[in-house]
Amino acid sequence: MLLLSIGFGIIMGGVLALAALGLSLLFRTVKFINFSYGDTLALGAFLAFLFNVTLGFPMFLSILITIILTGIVGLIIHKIVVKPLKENVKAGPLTLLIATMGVAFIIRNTILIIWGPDPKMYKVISGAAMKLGPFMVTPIQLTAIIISVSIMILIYLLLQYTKIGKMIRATSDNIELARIRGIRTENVVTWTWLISSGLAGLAGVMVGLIGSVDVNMGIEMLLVIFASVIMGGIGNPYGAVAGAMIIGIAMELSSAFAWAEYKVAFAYLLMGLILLLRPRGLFAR
Amino acid sequence: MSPLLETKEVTKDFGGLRAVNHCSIAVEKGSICGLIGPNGAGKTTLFNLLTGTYKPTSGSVYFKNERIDGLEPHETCLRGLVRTFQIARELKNMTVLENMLLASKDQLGEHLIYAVIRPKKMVVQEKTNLEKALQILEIVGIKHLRQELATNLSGGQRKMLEVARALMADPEMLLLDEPTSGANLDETKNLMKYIETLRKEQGLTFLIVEHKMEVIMNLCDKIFVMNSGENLAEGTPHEVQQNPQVIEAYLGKEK
Amino acid sequence: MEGLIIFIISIATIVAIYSILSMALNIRWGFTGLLDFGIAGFFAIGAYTSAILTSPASEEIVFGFKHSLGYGFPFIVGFLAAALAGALAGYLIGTPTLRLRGDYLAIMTIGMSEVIRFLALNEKWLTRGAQGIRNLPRPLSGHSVILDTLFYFILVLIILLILYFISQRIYNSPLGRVLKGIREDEIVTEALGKKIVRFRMLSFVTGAAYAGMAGSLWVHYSGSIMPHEFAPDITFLIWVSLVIGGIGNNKGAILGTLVLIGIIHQGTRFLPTIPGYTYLIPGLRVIFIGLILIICLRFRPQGLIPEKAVKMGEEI
Repeated sequence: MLLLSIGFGIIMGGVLALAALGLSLLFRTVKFINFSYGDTLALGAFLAFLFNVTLGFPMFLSILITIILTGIVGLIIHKIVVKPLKENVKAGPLTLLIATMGVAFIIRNTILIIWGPDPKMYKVISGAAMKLGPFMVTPIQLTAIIISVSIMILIYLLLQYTKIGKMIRATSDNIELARIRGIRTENVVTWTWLISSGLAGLAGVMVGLIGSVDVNMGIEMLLVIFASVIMGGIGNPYGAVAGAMIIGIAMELSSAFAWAEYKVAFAYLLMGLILLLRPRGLFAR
Repeated sequence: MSPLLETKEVTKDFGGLRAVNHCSIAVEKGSICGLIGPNGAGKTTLFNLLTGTYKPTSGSVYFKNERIDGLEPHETCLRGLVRTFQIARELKNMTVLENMLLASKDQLGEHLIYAVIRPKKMVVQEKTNLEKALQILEIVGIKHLRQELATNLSGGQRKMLEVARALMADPEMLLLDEPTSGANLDETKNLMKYIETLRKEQGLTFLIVEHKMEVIMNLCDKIFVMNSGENLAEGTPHEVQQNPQVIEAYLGKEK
Repeated sequence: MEGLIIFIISIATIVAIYSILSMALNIRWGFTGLLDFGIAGFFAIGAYTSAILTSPASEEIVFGFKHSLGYGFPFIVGFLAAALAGALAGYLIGTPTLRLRGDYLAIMTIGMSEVIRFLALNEKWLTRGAQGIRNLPRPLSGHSVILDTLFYFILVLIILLILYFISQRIYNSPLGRVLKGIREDEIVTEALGKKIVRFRMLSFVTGAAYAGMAGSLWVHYSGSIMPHEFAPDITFLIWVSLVIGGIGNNKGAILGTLVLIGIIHQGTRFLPTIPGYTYLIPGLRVIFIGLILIICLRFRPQGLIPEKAVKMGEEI
């Protein structure tokens, strides 16, 4: 029973890490918390449902289209909401947090209007659970974690070795310096939004695969993503990944021991505890 | 008699960077001391160590013979050591007068019950603080701006407000960080005269960071020179001016 | 005709209750600059405290749990207890979280708010879970429907005015100065001898008490209580009210609430539900409010009633 929880915790943690990576990456570059990230994730889950179930596309294709579309949604948020506020009223990070809260509710209610409040399931071939080492996993769960980990490695390689990755890192560290060195920081910010929101969409599909798709998943996931990101130290994407694994496993363990409904609450209390002891997170830079 | 303010081998590291390195200074009560050095010498960091904004990595800070380096910034202020900031931090959306009144100590009206009920003794206290504020504003020459939002003041006027505000907090010693930057000639002369008056009439002690040589040389009894976070030299203005190391490090490079 | 009058008084009552919530948030964000996304949580705590204390005693089996809560106390006990419960919760939640930086505080407060909602949903022995508590008494009732509605509205209005008065007093006092100082520049305020944590806590707890009282008033207005009423949606509505009305001042808070809750939220209640598209109107309503928030932040960030500097008279 314990192993089952840890096993699912690892899988959940892996998917959560993917989501946390996206948020953390964006924060490092734009220096404010995008409150609509959770609902972008939810949108991804629902879009995949649209393509996979309603339109009957194969899952793989649905995921691909979803990532592109949610990336574009992120782009729209940047161009229409964030950029005008920053440029015209010199909005600071707290104001942008409030504004993106508005975006979150807009997205959530759009989902509500189109799809309603009932949970949805994807059309995928579910297999029976198999034994993998000490754990039991279903093929879907295995696929989800493999995809999540692969994409995270891909992002790491992108950041470390590609030109765009280096530009993103330079802009995140010091935007003025990057500009002086000739980097088109406006493009970098645009790309970061695309990547971050695309990751959100992908993570949303993953969550839908291992769990379910429903209109409230945005805020629920957001809370847990926050817990992961803050645990790891908000400027540190890899810390966020570590934080997510910890939170994922801790949450599943707590539900094994007692209060399954309090999983999220437990994650929050854990985060609160860490913040008390180390206010800048476990791995703050 | 022991100095009013004293640091003993105070050191501050930020990660791998050592900003202040075994710095020791001693300021006598009733003196006006200067703190000079090239940019990046660690002067503002030292101020932050004195007020408790930073905790020293090693070494200690003493004020009135009491060790203060573990205290919070608001506690050092309450003990009588008040600082101003290099870039004026006026409270933008509050008026000059509000800025001033904020600084008074032991205000009854800062307690919830008093704030809501407004008993007579609180009203009287407000009035007293108001009179004091008006007096100080008059001397530094910005009384006419008292109902203006602080953000509408010129650079020089904001620095005057910084100093005026610090005085409202009943200091025994003032740490002034570049008080005349942005101030014109008249404002500068005015402030220098005021500092002398405060020393003579109220026995206030000063430690002033300055770049303007005329101010430092004419105002200060003693000058501490810092370079790269360390004590480079100290002495009277005359001595410091003649010191070859100082000339090389600072006076030679900048004018 | 009578129906219309009752409808209008009801909306006015709701606006008044939500205005207290707006003032609560205003004390925290408008005065002190605390980014608080958890106001719904304190609303819930006050509401449930009042509900549990005033609901008629019962010994029931609900979902297999013996529910014997309900003390049948009169409204005034519930109301005062709600204020105290709110304040206490504010102190407990504030102690670890108020030292955090702005955006972290936002995240912690929304988390706490959701935790409170989870508790309300799951601790069935205390709150009867999703079923909620019903048959809550409305004070001053026992007459015709229109008079009952009117009397309750007047009660709420009186409480609103008292709380408004207290909030104004705070704003115009040395305490208000310190709170504003913290909002404008915490470092300077601290350098001038003010203990930041103490004042943040004062602001937070006062806001919590206000929200708790609003919760009590709400619950006795609607007669019942259920956990889903205290979702972050309420926090969102109050934020938009405050942004529209003008941050930092109470008149703005009330006006903003009137506009947002009165006109936009409640005023559209009469719109028909389109069969087959149950969620279209409610969804569009929230989307519209979200758009208003963003447009307001972009084009009129100071709100309808901008904050006016406190010009002190020379003759206090």
